[in-house]
Amino acid sequence: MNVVLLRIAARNLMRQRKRTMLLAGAIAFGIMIVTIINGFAGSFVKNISDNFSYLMGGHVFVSGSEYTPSGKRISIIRDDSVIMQALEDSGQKWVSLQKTSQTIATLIFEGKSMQQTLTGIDLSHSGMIKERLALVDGNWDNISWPNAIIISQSIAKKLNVLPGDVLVAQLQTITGQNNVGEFRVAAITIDSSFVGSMMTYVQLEYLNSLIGLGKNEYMSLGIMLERLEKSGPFANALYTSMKGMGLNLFDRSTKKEDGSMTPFQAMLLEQKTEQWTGTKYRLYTIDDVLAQAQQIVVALDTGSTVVLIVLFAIVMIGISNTFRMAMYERIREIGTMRAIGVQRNEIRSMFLYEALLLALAGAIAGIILALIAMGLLTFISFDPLSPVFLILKRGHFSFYVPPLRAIGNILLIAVLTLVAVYAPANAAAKLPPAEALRTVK
Amino acid sequence: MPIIQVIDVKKDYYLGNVVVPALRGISFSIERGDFVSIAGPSGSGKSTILNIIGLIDVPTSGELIIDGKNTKGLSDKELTRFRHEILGFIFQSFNLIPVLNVYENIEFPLLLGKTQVPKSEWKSWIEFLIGEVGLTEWRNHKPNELSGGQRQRVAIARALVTKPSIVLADEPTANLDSTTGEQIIDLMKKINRELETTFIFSTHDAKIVNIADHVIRLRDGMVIENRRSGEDIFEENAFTASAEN
Repeated sequence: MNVVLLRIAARNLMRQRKRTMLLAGAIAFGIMIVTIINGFAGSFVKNISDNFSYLMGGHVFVSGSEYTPSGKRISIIRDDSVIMQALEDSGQKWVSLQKTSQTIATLIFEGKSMQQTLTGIDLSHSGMIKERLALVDGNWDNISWPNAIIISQSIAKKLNVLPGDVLVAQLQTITGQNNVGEFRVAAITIDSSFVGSMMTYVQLEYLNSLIGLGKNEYMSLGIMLERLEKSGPFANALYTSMKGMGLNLFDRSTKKEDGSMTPFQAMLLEQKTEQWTGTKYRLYTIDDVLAQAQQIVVALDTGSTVVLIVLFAIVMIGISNTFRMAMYERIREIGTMRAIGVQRNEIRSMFLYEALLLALAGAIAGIILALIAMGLLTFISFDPLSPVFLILKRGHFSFYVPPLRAIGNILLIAVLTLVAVYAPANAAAKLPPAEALRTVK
Repeated sequence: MPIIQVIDVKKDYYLGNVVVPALRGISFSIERGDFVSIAGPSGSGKSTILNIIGLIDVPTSGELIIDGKNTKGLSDKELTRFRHEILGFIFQSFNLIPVLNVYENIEFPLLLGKTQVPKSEWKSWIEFLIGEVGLTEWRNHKPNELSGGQRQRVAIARALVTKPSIVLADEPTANLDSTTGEQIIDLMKKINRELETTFIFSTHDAKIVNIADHVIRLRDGMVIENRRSGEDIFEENAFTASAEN
């Protein structure tokens, strides 16, 4: 690279400031739009996954399934000692384990009722509960009550209950028998998200007694990892380990080729068509459950690339024409340079350097603008009960631009700009010096 | 041995299907270190022959030998390299690079490839040239901040920076007032004496022509006078031209 030609290229950009600003501005605008779309897509899956991890209490899950003597299929893990051993043997690290049972119940208080999913966990020893929930009423000490129930602010409002009140819950056992239980409101939590407002927590042991599970039994084991990204390798290692221990497992790789079904949906379908004896285990990750969200991200990314290309096809026509004009404006300079000893390819390079600098300046400005815009968008607050809450982070937009994606966009712009400028640059390079020097502007 | 030999050079231009002869087969030689003036009215072929000697245009026929090398058949790349090594240019409209300052404009040819000036001497050589053309205090100024005379001085320094054997100047005083024009010619003459660089300049100003020690006068694409230090060395074309007139 000839440094002096690069210097001239950079200074030439500043000769027509207004024109340069307009072209760089067009590039910056395009990059800004695409970066915002990429940023939204980048955090989309993460937000959904985080919200669902919170809802489901883990990143990787093991659940048991078996048939009762009457032929009804139930979810149950009777003895988890082999699973725990498989976990140890897998050599993987996890942050916490959460044993969960769930059922749908109708909560009733003074003539008001509403249907709610009750999630039974070990309230006293769950770090997640205290970490994720903010109390608006009640006391953390209350969660040690055997029939404690933690409800969200919106549910408390609908049922008009306060801490200490006792709710009646109508529910069914796992074998389909009707049952009734009493829960005492231990705490009311703030609706930190749409997911949060849906959650009602009760003591695992008490819920198990109501739905017909034994003291040490439960439905699913949630494994919280350090990071969501580790869930795939973790699940693979655990699957191998569990297979090695001789446990009966559903195939993890089952999924429709056309992508119409998530691996999780495919696994559930498989269960319906299969018969087995004893407990058969499902092993799945948040990603398996949310594979369709990934498809949305692919669609968003593809869409943004199409936007980028269409937008820049228009911008590139402008850039190409501008450089053609610049070539005619500088025709005598080109002639002079050629006379002095600048080779043809160096003239071409000088125009291409100029285009490259323009593209890079525009792209970097675009990314800075996108960061500012994304920063401002995160200040918008959404109603916690809005369905869009699932794709938000604590009620706000969040953005994550994968660095490789940003670099890819910059490279794409650089290449498109170089392609757009190549023809005028080549025409400049091919100008016979005498003809260029003779030209009167 | 002459530094330049022009042998029966013809140059035709085409205006659509019409052939316009600019040079009708001219021949002359130039000795090393000469201060040469190519004179003649507008349209006589002065710029065309300078462009051909400067290797920025090619003759339709004929041969050009510079420094013992026949330039016929050289590729564009070879011609460009040859120009950079052997030739320096001074233009009528100065033709400085507008985005570079005085120092950078003069330095520019040195950055384009191998020259006779070792890299370690670049700075002192450029400073010497800036001093020689009297622009020491203007070294950081851009061309648009200089007068016409000053710009032409920069162009002279730029033409000399690679220590070329030949400097070509196409009507170097045409865009200057007469006093400044004379100063520029004096400066070129001074450098010609000090550095023994061959200077070839075109002009139609009779006063300036007389300063040269070799005058080649053209009319209608032919040499009508070829006089070196008072001695006519070639007059064949002159008779032809007179006969035609």
